[in-house]
Amino acid sequence: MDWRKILAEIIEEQPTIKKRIAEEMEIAARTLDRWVAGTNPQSMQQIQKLALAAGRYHPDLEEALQCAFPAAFKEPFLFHVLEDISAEFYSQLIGAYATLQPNLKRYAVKNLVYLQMVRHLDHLITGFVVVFVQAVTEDKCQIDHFEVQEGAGNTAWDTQQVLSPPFALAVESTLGREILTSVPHVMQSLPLDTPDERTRCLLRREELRSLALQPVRREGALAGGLLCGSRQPDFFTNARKDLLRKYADLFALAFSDGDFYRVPIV
Amino acid sequence: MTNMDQESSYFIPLPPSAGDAAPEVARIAILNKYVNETIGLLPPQIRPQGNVLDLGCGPGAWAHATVDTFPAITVTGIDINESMIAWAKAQAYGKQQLEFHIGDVTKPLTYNDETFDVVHSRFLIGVMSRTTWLPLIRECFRVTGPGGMICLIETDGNFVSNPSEHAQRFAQLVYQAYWRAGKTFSETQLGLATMLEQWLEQAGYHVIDVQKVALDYSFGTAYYRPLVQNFAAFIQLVKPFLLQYVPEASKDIKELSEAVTQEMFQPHFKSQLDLTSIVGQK
Repeated sequence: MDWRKILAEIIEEQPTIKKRIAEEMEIAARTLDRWVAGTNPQSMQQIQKLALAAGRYHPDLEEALQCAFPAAFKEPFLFHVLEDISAEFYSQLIGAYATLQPNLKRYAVKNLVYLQMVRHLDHLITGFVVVFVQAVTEDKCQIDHFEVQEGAGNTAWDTQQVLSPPFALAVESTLGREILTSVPHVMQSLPLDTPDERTRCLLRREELRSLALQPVRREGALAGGLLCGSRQPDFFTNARKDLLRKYADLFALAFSDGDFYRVPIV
Repeated sequence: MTNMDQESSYFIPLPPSAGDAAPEVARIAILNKYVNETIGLLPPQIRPQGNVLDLGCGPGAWAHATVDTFPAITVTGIDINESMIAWAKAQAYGKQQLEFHIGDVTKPLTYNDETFDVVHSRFLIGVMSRTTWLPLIRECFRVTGPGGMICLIETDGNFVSNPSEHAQRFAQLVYQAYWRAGKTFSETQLGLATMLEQWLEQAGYHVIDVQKVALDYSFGTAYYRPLVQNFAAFIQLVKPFLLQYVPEASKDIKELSEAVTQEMFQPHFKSQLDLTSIVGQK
């Protein structure tokens, strides 16, 4: 069957379905109309996203897309529905937070969150790295600079990123300023030829195609941010962004109140 | 003082609370990452395919890395601790090549004869005793198919190259505790690696390779930062074990653990983890 005809059936059945698919794919609704009319999705990832977001409304859509775009389905399928963080993992971390001495708590919580989030967010092992950019203060009043700490990753970043030494980052740097906004930042398509300035603290930065920065906060105060990089463009889907926010909240359990700073809202 | 021949459980107390087990889960997972990198996942004599039994799998660091690297391998991991198995399972994300179960390696294995192509283990020294090693290796022989392989990786200790008196004294307390807990054959060193070859042959295996590798994490080396933190956690976690088996040194234990932890973060810190890998064939 022609995938455009199937897509037309899906989006014409109910306007709400069309809106829902577009939101999930993070595209304009009229883009779906253009595809029905004859243009093609712009990337392999968009085709995968379409199979996932719209495929649940018609049993033949995914197969039709595979026939039309076989190469897209040879790529790692990045957009499978991701499970939420398991209750067991929450329980382990909350237990560690409640019972452990500060040094052991920090060691256990940080490393367990790192290990879990790498495997969870990139379960297809396409190439992922995460580091913690910690706020550092001299006088406990305001953030003086940031320090890029050890992190975790898979593939080429499996141990290499962890082995690189701490890296100081000015508050005025692009990454520093973004962390201070205390809101998440995502870049889905990093340029191929000029590595982004934000990635200079990461090894093999020329391989990164998506970037996300998630603040680590507690009750409105900031400890720093989790900087994540992926080899895949469009890696940080809504599901992954949501998971990243939850993992950052868990990561915050590693720190004591003194590690968090109030940042003036500009 | 304990009966030297009594069977012992895991040397680091793992309370039922999942939270209290978290540091040991993290410690083993991180340590195994670097052991994987140093000694490799599988020795060259073992083909990367077939059905593998991973004894004392812990949080599954080796099992996960192995199936990620070798898609033709399936791994069944067993461990006595529920938190470890829960963690290993939580990381599987539906991978069909992995299974994890609660299992006690100090008791007869619950598998039929000749079920597996390979049996693998690392650092069982923490759970085994003098009297349980040979029965376990005989069980490994039983559950391995004809021509099947066994690969055991153990350590002869840490702080091998450290000149510090505090570190040397701390290491001695660890060796003493292990010996009194019935786990080793000498009060002054772990000395387990030398026994493995003998046990494998007694069980019927033909030993085909023995490799010794040092994982150097002295100050300034590539592995220093992650492993010094790992070992600092070990020093905290092993204290109850030391206090139980060397109670007369309780004052020393507290002072030494603090002194050694401080020394570990100084530029003159030297240490290496000695690893022995032994491969046998049925």
